[in-house]
Amino acid sequence: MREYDLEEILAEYAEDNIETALPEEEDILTEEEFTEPAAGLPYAEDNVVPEENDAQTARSDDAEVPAESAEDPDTQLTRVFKAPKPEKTEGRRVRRETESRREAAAQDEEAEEPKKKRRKKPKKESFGKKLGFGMLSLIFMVISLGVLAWTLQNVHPDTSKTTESSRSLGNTNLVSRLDTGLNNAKANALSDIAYIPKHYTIPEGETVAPRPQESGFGSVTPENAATVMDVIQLARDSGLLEGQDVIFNPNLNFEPNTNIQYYYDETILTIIWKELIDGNTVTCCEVKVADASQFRRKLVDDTFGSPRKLFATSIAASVNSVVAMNADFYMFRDFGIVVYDRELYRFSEDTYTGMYKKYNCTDTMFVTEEGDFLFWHRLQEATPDQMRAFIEENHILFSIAFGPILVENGALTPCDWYPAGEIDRGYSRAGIGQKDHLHYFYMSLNHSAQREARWTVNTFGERMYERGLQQAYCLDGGQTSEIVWRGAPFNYIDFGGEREVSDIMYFATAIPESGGTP
Amino acid sequence: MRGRFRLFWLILAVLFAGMAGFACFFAMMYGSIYNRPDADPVETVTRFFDSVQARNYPEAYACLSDYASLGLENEPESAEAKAMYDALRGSYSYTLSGGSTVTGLEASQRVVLRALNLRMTENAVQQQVNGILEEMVTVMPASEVYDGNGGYLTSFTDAIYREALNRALQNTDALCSDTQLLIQLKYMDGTWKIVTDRSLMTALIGGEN
Repeated sequence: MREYDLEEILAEYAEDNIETALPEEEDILTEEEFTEPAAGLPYAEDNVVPEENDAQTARSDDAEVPAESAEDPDTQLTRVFKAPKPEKTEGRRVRRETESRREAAAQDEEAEEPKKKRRKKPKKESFGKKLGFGMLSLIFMVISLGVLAWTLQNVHPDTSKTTESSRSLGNTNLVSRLDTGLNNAKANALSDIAYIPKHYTIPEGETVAPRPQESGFGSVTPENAATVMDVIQLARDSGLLEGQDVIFNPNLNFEPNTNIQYYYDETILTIIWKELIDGNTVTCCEVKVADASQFRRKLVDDTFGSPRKLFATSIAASVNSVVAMNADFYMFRDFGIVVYDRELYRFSEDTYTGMYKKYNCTDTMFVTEEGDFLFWHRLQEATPDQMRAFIEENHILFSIAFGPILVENGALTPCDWYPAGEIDRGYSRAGIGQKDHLHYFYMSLNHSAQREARWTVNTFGERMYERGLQQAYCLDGGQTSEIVWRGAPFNYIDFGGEREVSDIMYFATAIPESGGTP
Repeated sequence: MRGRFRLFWLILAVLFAGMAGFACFFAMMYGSIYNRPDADPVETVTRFFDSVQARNYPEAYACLSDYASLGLENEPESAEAKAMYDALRGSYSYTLSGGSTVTGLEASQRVVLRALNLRMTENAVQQQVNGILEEMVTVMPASEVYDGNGGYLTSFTDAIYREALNRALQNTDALCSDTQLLIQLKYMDGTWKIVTDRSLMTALIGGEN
């Protein structure tokens, strides 16, 4: 064990205490004095346990130290070494000796003053400094708030990558519209002396079609179905039917207690009814339009990829449709080819089901600017650039990506496997077909309040084919299958209620609400 | 007091760090977030209408946010439509109504567009038709007037219409009307661009007012 000279140690400690007790000495100390307490540290670190009487003395001394002093951080070092304190008399003697030693040392220092280097002891943070930091913080806060205000005023999201601006630049032909308007103006001007057929079109850039005329709507009971033939004759006389036969027949097996509804104006003839086929309620709709612009597609928000979904009735009302139907519910799945407003939006070459690619795992139906159906068969290969070229060459306006193809070029096309629509199960079905130029037919088989629908896709295809269609294509079925007439679902929807969807197809009148001019 | 003072700064620091983090996240999701309109929307509106008047259509289309072409550069099919379109293009004039309103990245400017009105022209033509018919029937041989069924030949009715239109267009000022337009603009690609709407397109071809 290490040996210590108790007297020397006590002297050092007493000196420490004296130094800390001397206010005049606190501010400026010599280098040696400043380092003195540190010299005592080994004592503490060696953990020398003082004699018991010393410890008792220390306790009594502690009791004498005022609480205020004990709290002073500047005396912490002193308190650490307070434990082994000598008795008071001994302390006084030691203090006297220390003082005399210090005086001697001070005299020496005075003599050597120029040589000695003096150092300032670190001061406590002054009020001035605090104020300085406070001011600095305040300045930074003001700057930060200023930056925030400027940011809110001037910095806005760059919308170039948002879905809204993902819409491509459109093209329209106002002069063509003027041509149409002038033709109709001429027809009006010469109406007393000559008949000039009017021509109406809905401009391609228009997202909303003209509102149909209320006087164009009609409704008859199945018993009076022949009345509808009078309306058909009007359409024939006006040239709207272009000499084509119609699918509607007053002798069909109409569902009892349901009316046959129709709409007719110079640009569109629509007949919608319910009939019984194989004991199932089937909703049918026949449409003949004068201009291809009247067969339209509508995505919610007019934007591909919009996450918003709406009831088909809401979408149909927003575009003034005469009749609207569900399409492919393109946001529900990520495969197929999606074209909208002549732009290719979905064409994924990722693999689907391990053997197909997403873009060609389904048949796709394209609608051209002439209003014709054009099919892209599943497994048919293309690159995105080839597809864009195909769209441009064929003047494709939009696509429907569901399928399969039911009828192609007048021939039935059975299907044995398909990735969408559970084709082999009895299910509610919907499909659209083209009979002739600008002449279309929609059919849906749904549950009804009385019975459940049970048709496979191939059975459904046969029923469509029997209507003499040239082209027919299966749409999304089940609860999505819906046809909207005058603001409400015309068919019975599975589970008794509409489902929110991302898109519809619709037919509209082309007669401007303001009359014949553009 | 001292502790509270520090807590305040801590909260403020967390707040600003949170905002900075949000800005970073936003930027990652949507790209750059800095977009400060510094051009004048009035300049775009003026440039568009000046270009339309000057028949400088590429320049006019460059002012649009959503259309690459409005097809104004095309020529109508029929001779009557060509005459009408020429008169329409010659009739354009516009005045800005009030100052522009800028809200963030959107702006609007009221414009009064004066142009030949198709409906008024149609009425004027219609008023001329019967008079011209009487004149022409008397001066033209019957073979150039009637078809085999006693109706008028198409060539004859076309001639009547052409003449009626020419007479109506001799006084285009009387056939012009003002259309109040609220031009909407949005700031994109470092400049203001016009959001084309139905009223603007219709007004450009002398439609509703």
